[in-house]
Amino acid sequence: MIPLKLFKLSAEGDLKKLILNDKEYKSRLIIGTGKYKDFAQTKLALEASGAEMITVAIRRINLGQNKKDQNLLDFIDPKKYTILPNTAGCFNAEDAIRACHLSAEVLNGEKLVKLEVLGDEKTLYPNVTETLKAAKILCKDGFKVMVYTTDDPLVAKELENVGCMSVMPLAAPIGSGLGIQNRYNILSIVENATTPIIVDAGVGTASDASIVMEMGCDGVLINTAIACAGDPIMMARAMKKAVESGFDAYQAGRIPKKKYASASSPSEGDIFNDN
Amino acid sequence: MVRYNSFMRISINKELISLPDNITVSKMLEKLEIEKKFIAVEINLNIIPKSDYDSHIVRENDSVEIIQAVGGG
Repeated sequence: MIPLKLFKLSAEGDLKKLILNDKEYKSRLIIGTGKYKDFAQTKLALEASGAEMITVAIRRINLGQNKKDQNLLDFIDPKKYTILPNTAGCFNAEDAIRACHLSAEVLNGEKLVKLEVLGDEKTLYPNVTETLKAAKILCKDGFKVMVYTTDDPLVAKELENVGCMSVMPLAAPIGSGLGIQNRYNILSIVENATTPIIVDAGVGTASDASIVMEMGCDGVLINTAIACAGDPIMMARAMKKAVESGFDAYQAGRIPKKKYASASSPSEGDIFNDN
Repeated sequence: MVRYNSFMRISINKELISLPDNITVSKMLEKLEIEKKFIAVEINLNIIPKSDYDSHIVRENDSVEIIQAVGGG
């Protein structure tokens, strides 16, 4: 069980806004565009999710591809969505930096990136040493870095200190759907943060997304849990509601947990218990 | 002097491709039927800005990468 005071810690105050790269976002759900059946399904899921920011990967163009084959960005209007290119597939800082420069060129100079430097294929766990190294260089080069990392509060703080725009700790390994494995760490990260904290990876279903938001995170990035759901479009809608209700609950401030009951009906005027 | 019927071999996305000698990046993309928007062209690990596509010449043995955005998380 999570201690009550941790849940209460930042429930007071006005509605906080989510501002990334000088743009205010109404939706706190960021959608990954991998693993969908086709571009049409991707588009429908995006619409159902209400997301305003989406991630993409950058890869070699298929030389055999028919000219008429649509590019993802022909299908999904970059004027409508903020495109957040990732560095997925990079296992060292050097490759990740190269990927960021390439994505900036693909997106006509946009320097917003999602940095992820992974450790190994099996766990896809972040390599924090290489992540930090890349983050420092990219921030100096003027990139707006949203960084995928472990749920280590000290590493999260260090990534903030080197200039990352947003820190994105994992809830559980990418694509695992395990939900938040270490709430205390996420709470610590949120408590110490001065930049938006967006949980990235590990969400399995709607309640996981709600819990992330109830803990005071600024947003959540979801891909597999939607794209690989039985009905991705319905799951996109569920995630939209889950993120909104979780955030509302956080803002409202939950009740403290008590060991014993507390009657909801008044004891005054109770005709059954005169004493 | 313009040389006709002369071809060079370059590596594009790790595939060996024959293209007319010393063509521009723009001409190369045209030959490959690749639209110029939302791509990046990297030659020998240097990114060629879109503004240089008409002037930058692709040379024999160049290693070219042509990159686009795809679905990803």
